[in-house]
Amino acid sequence: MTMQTLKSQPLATQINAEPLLGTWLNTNTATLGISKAVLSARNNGFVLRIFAANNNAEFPDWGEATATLFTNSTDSQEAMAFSAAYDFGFMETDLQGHIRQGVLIIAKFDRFKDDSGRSNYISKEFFFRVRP
Amino acid sequence: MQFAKAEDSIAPVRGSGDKAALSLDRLLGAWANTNEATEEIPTLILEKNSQGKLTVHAAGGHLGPADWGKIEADHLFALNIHSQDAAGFTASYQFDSRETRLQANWNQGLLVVASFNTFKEDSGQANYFTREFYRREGSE
Repeated sequence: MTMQTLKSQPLATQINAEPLLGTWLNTNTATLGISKAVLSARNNGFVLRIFAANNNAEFPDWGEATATLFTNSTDSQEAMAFSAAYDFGFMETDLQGHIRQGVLIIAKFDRFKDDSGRSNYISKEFFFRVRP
Repeated sequence: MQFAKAEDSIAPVRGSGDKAALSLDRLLGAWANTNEATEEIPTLILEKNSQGKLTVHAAGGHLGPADWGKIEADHLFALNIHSQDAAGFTASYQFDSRETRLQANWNQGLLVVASFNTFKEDSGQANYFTREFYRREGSE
């Protein structure tokens, strides 16, 4: 599995990442998708770590991927969205997260590269932040 | 069959390796921003080119050029793993000073378009995200 390195990585000092940082749990405890997302600051950048819901999956812990953070305008310093990508070899997924009224909405854009016949597809899941 | 999420562990509905092209019908046409005061992309025109690929033509607003030009979508996505109907796409515009990556999905008749705008140089402008809604033109 490889992580996508994006062209532009905003420095941690340039953006207030607090609205996004931390551990986020899926509001749907019966999800078959992503159960937990953890966004952390690391070496002047940001990393996303994803945990899949089903322990029987081959990849219960997707590991860390570089995350790029975004504000809601060019003159804002407050992060409210991120993008990140995972490549599992047989599948690539682009994750698009944004906050709306305290809820983190993650859209998954899954692309299958194997010969399984599965259609590439979009799905969304909703997460709430766990306070330490 | 390998899967990274349990929701992707399914019995294929088609033969192995038989990955059919997704139908573009749900996406094709002219789409108007539901926010007439938008400073981003007022209109999107989605067409199929001679190779059968989806093209994206954005007409810009306040922050970009008036006409962003027509580009080919990077990837198409269905609403679910079994579907043969395209209901979303990704596409990337490269401008001199910034990259704008579009991630769009159809939902209940609306086209929801998220844009991830990354500045290529240290202009002092923050990389920013937008999410806007489009209705099909002529649907009123």
